[in-house]
Amino acid sequence: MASKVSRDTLYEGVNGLLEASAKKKRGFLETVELQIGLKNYDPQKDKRFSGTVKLKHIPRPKMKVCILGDQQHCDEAKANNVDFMDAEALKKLNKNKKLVKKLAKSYDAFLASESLIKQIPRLLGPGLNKAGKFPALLSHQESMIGKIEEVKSTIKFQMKKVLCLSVAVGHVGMKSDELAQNVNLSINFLVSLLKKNWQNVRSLHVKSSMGPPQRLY
Amino acid sequence: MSDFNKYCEEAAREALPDSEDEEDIGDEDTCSAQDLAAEFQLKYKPQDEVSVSLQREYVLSLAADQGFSRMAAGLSNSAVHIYNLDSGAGKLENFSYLPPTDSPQSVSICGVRFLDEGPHNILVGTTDGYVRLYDLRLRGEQARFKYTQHPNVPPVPKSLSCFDRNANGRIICCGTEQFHSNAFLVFFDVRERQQMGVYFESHEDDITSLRFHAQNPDLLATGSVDGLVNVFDVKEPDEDEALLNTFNTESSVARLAWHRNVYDKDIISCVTTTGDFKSYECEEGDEVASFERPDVTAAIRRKKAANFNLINAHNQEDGGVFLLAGTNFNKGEILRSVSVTSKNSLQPLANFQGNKQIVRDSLFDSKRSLLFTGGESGIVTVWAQDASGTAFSSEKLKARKEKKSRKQAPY
Repeated sequence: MASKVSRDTLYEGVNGLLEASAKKKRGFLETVELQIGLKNYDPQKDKRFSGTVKLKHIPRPKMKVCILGDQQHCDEAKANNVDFMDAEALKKLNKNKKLVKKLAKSYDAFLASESLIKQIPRLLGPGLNKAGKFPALLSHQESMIGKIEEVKSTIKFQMKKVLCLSVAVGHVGMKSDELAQNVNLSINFLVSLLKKNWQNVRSLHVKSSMGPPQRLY
Repeated sequence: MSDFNKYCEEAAREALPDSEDEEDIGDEDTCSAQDLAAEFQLKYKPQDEVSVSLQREYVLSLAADQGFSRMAAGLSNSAVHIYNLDSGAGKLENFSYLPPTDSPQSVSICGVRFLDEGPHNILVGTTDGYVRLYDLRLRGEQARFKYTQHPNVPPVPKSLSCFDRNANGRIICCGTEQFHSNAFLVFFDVRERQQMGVYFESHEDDITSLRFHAQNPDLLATGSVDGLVNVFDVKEPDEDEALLNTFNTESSVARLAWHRNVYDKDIISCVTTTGDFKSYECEEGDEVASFERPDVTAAIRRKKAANFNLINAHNQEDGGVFLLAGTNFNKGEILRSVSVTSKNSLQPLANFQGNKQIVRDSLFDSKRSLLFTGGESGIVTVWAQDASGTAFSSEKLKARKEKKSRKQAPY
């Protein structure tokens, strides 16, 4: 296995986490986080990194996605029972900051057709940019549901000035296999971004929102 | 359990550095040395090299005047070295040195730029929030730009992450990191020595790159960790009106560059922090080209994407674009370039032999085909096409001579 975290350790960590969370049920679905400590890294000089990675299993099932579509995409969205808006609906917002903000708040992500995505700054102003929810492109070549799944299963890493970072990779409702797979994918991706790969990794932990951390590395 | 085994097999297939030997991360070319020589038609050799510092400082930023007669290298300790460039011979000669900022916190450079076409006025941006203007003919700094808090604006962080000046050298724009969930673009008027205002509604996260158009003084492109590239017309007084276009890279932007296509349209390209390359037509917003990290890794004929490092995109004399790329393997000895020939094809272009460091910034003089690189071993290298056996030996790499602080400034 090409990872420094053996299958056994990974499985042990994930199972331990799930057991702990099963023992003490919380009033919400706990998120599972991967926490990474780094070493031999100078955030002043070395490249800070961030990036997105697509996981195998959806870590945030409740994410709400809205389609900003042309006619064809709107019809497709209607058929698939996905929320959508067309150009006319966007025009009605009239660049009103409050309304755009409200729109941004009511969804976790947006997808837009090619013809529409170009008009977004004109129609809505920078509101979606500011909210960090500028739509991703939905082309007619790809399936809408597929793209929505992709958006839902994509997570973002970001290292700031400190030598640790954490990222949500799943929730406690997932099977241990699924969780382990997500954790492993995230680790592999993260390590590939580091200058000296594994030599920059000090520690790896998985942790559920309320549970104790489980060390992997 | 069978599911789990399946996943382990998948994981084993992932091309990641071998964990067993920490010391040596294996990586190699995907073709033989002969094939490599045949494919990368151009051979570049170091024409001159200078080591900027005996301490372990990185060269993070390079700038040159329009005629490539003078070059500035900004270091990770916020000092700047300035060289005269004899472009015929491709040699660098020490000219001046701007000492690091004296501060209890560690201060790094966030960019160096010549203010105008000439080789005399230089702007130096540091992460503690200052952009300083120096006239290299005179002693001391000429001006200092720093944001002072305006009551109607949410708090702006003190630190800067990047800056640029516009085509006519009248406006400076600085990008900040995210602070109280705002990321700012701060504008200064160079002549009036005054701040003009801020934009803070178009990015959600740290601004990482900021580039004014090379000819049009009003056109500004900004990139951020949130993955967006915004294009502004800074003539407009209002941020809403100024925002012309937004491109979503669905990653994080590391570096932006302006290009021009065969129809004379402006193209914005971006290198993401994950080593992908994307470019967009500036007005229409169509995606022109998109290459992911494994694509470019394959194009420079290396095996492992996990070691790969996309450095920069440069314009060639004929209007083409090439990508400069290296690897982190063995202190970054691999440095190659590939030209972007169409929407989805890359052609091997040049091999840079004898690289000594992981390159962090690069400049290209398309008229003379000289490439300049600076990086993590604190070396500035001038690369020239290898005409014949002008072999360069590494003994020539001299340690930096005693600082000649401004000694050579005329009058």
